[in-house]
Amino acid sequence: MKLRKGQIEMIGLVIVVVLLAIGLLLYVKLVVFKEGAAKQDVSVENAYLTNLMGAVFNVKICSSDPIKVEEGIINCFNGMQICGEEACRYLKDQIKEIIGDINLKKYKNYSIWVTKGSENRTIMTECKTGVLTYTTVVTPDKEHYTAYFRVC
Amino acid sequence: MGILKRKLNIGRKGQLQIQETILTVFIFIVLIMLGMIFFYRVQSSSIEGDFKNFELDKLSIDFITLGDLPELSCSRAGIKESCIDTAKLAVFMSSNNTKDSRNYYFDRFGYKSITINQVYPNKNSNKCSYSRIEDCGVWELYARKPTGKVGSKIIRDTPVSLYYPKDDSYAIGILVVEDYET
Repeated sequence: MKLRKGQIEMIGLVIVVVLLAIGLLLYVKLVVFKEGAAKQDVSVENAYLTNLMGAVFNVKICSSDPIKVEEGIINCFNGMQICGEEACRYLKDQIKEIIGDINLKKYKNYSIWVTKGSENRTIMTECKTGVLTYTTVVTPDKEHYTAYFRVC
Repeated sequence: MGILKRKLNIGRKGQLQIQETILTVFIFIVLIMLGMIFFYRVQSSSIEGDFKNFELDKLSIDFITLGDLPELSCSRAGIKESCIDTAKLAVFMSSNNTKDSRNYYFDRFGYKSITINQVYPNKNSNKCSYSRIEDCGVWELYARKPTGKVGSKIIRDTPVSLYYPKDDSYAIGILVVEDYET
């Protein structure tokens, strides 16, 4: 059976319409119903890190003369000693041990440093970039130190 | 004869036009219905997404502010510190047995499980209670699972500092919040 010119044009038109419809459906499927990427909740991430910092800084080290890690950080800044050892080195080993015992899968590397005015003292430098949090430590003689904690 | 034939022809033409109109209206209604179904699905999917985001935000807020609850947080001379007092945990767990208290915290937390597992200086799988604060490491603070089928659950965890006032020492625990979707 021979097709007339008009019929061929109709078939062509139908094919174009079908292709357009398929395209539109694909667009709707991929763009409109797109599954949103898992929202990275920054506030939860920061809360996690601040809690981790607070938990580590509260732990008491040196059984013979117990001292909080945050107090040890001040000792480190001032070049003092903890348990008869150089404070910064002792702190570094102790913090590594604490974090190792907690065994967090989320973060593996840490940086900790303390500043007072324009001076700063580094305790650990495993991260150059990453999530950062900090806390201000006020000593009994009203000196203000800022301890920074970065994870990556 | 000729007039009758012409009238019959007009009748067929009219019937064809009516059928054409019915078909057009039918296709039009089908298209409108398809459009409405599509619109409804897009809207319901969007509302579902918004509700999920709202639930996640609510969980985040609950989760972040949990350690700051006066029932749990430790303080020294009235100044709040960033830790959880284990003595308060014990009291919280024992007071959570009354109906009023259960209702109050259900309004506050909903269907959740809140547990603290001590991980430093030592791990201990013994459950803590009002009468057992030492030699234990699992604090089951709150648990309310929905009856029937649980859809899914979101789990969030964070390290927390645990304070033992008896010997003025600190431990580290992992606070785990499980949020059940109903």
